[in-house]
Amino acid sequence: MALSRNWMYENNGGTCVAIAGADYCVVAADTRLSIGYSIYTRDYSKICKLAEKCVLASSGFQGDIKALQKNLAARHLIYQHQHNKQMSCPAMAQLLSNTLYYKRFFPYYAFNVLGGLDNEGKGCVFTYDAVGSYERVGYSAQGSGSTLIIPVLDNQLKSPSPLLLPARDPVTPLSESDAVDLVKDVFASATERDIYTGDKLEIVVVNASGIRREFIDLRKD
Amino acid sequence: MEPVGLSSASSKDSTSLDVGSERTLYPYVTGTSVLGVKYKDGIALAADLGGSYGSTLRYKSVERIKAIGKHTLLGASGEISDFQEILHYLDELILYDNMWDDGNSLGPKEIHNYLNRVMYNRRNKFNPLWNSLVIGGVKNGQKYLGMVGMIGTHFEDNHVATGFGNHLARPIFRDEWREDMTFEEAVRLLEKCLRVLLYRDRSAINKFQIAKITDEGVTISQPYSLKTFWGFSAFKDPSKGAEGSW
Repeated sequence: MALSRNWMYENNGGTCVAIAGADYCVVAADTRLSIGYSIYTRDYSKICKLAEKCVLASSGFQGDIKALQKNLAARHLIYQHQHNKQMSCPAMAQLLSNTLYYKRFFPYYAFNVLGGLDNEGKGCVFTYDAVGSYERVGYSAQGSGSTLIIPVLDNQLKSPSPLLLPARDPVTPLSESDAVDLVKDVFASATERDIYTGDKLEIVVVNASGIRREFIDLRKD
Repeated sequence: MEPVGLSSASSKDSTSLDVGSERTLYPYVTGTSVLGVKYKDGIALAADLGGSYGSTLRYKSVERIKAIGKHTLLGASGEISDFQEILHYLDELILYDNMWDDGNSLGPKEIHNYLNRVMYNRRNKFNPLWNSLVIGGVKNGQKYLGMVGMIGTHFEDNHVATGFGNHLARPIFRDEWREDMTFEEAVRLLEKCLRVLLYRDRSAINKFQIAKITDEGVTISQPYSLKTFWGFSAFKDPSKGAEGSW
């Protein structure tokens, strides 16, 4: 039980997905908390509402994730006190990147997907690595099942290629209900093959009327 | 991504070569699993009274479940001295809480959050408290049961276990736990798991305590042991199939 160099991190697994649409954003994550080959609990939310139109989903080391989400929520509260308004999603995106890079030499082991509505009410998704490099995209997946999910999203979302010139709007032309159905399908597929993904799926939809949440059962094995 | 911080994190011992590191590197005297279940009226925790020193069973009367304030029970596995330090922090916390004298008292959720922050912050300073903690309690009729790990991993559930209990007891809990168990049923369930741990965990001893907490208060039982069965025919003549070998 001696000290190995990585005792301070563990991977609690899980997968997060976000899809941006013309006037909505879907953010989803499974609710399984794992350690090694065991399951700690089947009912743990990885999604955190940071601002009125801004939702963060993170997978990785749960201790760091909770600390990161708490950190951002506190900073948002201060922002509200100082500016008398909610932080926009792009502003929160920059804050998250800076917060992650601040710990560049002892990183938050958190793989994040930030979703919400931008200042014009259009859906936006930002995807991150553990040390804060980020990019606005039309859709993204992070976590243990991400490699299983991203190819399916590439194929099904009919989003414009990022290589086109002039650059096209990265959001999907799909409707909100189609996007939610697609999310359910990709998670069902990821659950089949990824041992860390399963139990329940939490879907959060951000649109002009507010934030809506639903839970879907996934395979528990 | 290998963090580089190990040598430069603490200002106290990074510059001087003759002051030895005062950080916990590995645990010495350890306790094994703690189990916890919610039942109809409250929470029941169970643990054995063993303190192992590596492979030696050094101490056999280590109480690893303690009452914290009026509403909470805390059980710990891992390094016993770190558990004692946690109890010391909590003593101070409860003292200040009482000194406010405002009719409010810290409940299990608050204790869980406090311990979570303590464990995570010690991990950030590369000087962990080498424990897995089970926090259970009842406040104003609301039951709460949670776990905090050594590096700050934490969650809440209807049944929790630390260490080997995660592998051996949680599956039994998942199969047999019910929301409306009576205390007797909860004890039967806990004893079933304790017996499995006794057979299969080499650091477990046959001397247990069951602690219960309800809105009325805390009861920690006297130490007692479980009946075990070793009369399997294969044990009677262990070398039957190996005649002539060593």
